[in-house]
Amino acid sequence: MGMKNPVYMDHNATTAVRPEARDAVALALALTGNPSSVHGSGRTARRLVEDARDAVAALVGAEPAWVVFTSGGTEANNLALRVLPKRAPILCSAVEHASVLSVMDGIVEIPVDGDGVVDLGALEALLAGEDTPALVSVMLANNETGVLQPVADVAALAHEHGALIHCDAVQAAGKMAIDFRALGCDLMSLSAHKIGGPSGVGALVVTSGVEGDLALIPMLRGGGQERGRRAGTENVPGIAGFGAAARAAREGLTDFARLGRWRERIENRLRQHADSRVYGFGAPRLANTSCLTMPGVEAETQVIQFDLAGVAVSAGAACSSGKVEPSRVLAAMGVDANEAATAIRVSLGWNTTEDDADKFVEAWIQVYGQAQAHAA
Amino acid sequence: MNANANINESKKKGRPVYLDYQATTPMDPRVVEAMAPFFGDKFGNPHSRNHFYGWEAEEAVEKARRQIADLIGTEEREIVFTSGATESNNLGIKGITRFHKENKNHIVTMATEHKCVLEACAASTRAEARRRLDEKRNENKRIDRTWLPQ
Repeated sequence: MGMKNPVYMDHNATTAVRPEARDAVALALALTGNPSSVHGSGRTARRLVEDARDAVAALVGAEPAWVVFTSGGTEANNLALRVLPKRAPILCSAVEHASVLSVMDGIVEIPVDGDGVVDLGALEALLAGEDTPALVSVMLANNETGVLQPVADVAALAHEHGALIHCDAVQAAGKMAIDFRALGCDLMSLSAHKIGGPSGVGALVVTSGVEGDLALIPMLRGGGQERGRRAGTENVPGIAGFGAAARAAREGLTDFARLGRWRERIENRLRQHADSRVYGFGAPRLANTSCLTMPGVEAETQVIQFDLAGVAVSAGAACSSGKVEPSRVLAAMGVDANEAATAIRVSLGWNTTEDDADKFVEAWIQVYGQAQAHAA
Repeated sequence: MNANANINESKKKGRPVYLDYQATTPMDPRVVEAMAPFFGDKFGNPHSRNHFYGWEAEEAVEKARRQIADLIGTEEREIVFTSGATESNNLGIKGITRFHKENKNHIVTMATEHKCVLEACAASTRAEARRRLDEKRNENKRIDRTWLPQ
C-alpha cells in the first residue's frame, strides 16, 4: 500500500461526500422524528424530506411530486423496469448498468456503435417489431466510458411507437445539466453517493403521466410511504444529505465542466508516451471520465502498480464481486478482448485538484516505463 | 438516553417531551461518532476491489456485519444488509414464498403483524387465499389453531 490517502481517481465508483451534504446529514442525525408521525418532531423530519425532494427535482428539472426516494440507483432501476405489466417487451442499450440488464429475463439489447453510442436505426427496427407497448431503457452517461447517449432522440422514437422511456442518469447527474422534460423521459434513476451525497439513498423520478395510465408496481409494500410507491420509513438523514448534495452539485456544474480540460490534458500527455487508446473518444462524453489502455499491460497489473504509486484507479466498474471480469461495455463496442483487458477507468470528481491529475500522469508514465523495462 | 434524562433534556431546550420511541428513537451519540469518518476521508465504495478506499469501506461493512450477527447470535454470512425492516420483511416473505411456490403454498400470519408483513403476504398470495385470510381476520382477532393447514 502507498501513502495513507492515495490520489483518488475513481469518482464514478463513488465520490467524496460534499461538506454541504455532511452538514445536512449531521443536522438530521441530531433530530428525532419519523416523517410519518403527526407530532412536531415528525413534522420537522417531514420538512427535511420535502425540502430534499425539491432540491433533487430541481437538479434534473422535474416536479417534486415525481420524485420517489429509494435506497439508491440500483433500487430505482429495478423499480423503473416494473412499470409495465408482466411480459411487456423491455429494450435496453447493450451498455446499460447491471442493475438494469439483470433485472429480468428476456430483455432485448439495443446494439451500440464503436464509440458506445446506441444505434437509433436498430432501435427503430426493434420498436417497429413489437406490437405491445414497450419500455425503452437507455442511460444518459456510461459509467465505464463516460459516453453520452442521445436520450432525447431515443425518447422521441420510443414515444412514436407508444413505448415509455426510462433513463438511468446515475452517472450523469451532477456532472452535466439535465432537463428531464426536454429529454422527454418518463422515468429517471438517480443516486446520492455519485453526486457527493451519502450512500444508501437514491431516487426514481416518475412523471404523473406514467402513474396515470400505467401505475408503478411497488417492490416494497407496507406503510404506504412515498405515496404508496415505495414503503419503508424514509431514510431522513440520507435524504437530507441527498438534497444538500443535489443543490451543491447543481451550483457546481460549471466547475465540474472544467474537469474536461484536465481530462484532455491527461489523455494528450499519455498519448505522447504510448499508443494509448481512449474508448468513446469520438462521441460526446462526461467531462470527468476516461477509459484508456496501457498497451501490453493487463489492467490487474496496472491497478496494483498504481496503488503502490499512491493512485486509486479502477479496472472496470466497481460492481462485480471478486475478480475483474472482461468489460461487457467494451465488448458491446466491439473492442477486442485482449485489448480491453489493458483498459482502466480514470474518473475525476468535484474535489479533484490539478495536482491530482498531474500525479496520475506521472504515475501512469512510471508504471508504463516499468512494464516496458520488464518486457525488454 | 433514559426517559428521565430525555424529559429533563427536552425541558431544558424548550422542546416537547418525546414519547414516541416506537416510531423512531434518537440517534445514539456513539452511532453518530462511528458514522463520521465515512462522511470524510473514508468515502470509498466497498465494491471497489482495486484500491485502498474500497478495501477500507469493505472492512467497515464486514465489521458491522459481525456486530449485527453477534447481536442476534447468528453467522455473519446469514446477514443481508437492506434499506430497512420494510425491505427485509418484503424480501424474506416474497423471496421464500416465490422459492417454494411449487411445493409449499400456505402462509400463516397474524392480523396484528406490521402492515409491511401483511402487505407482503397478500402480494405473495393468490386472490382466493387472500379472501379467506380477510374473512378469518374479520371474524377472529387472535390466532386460531384450526386455521393451520391439517
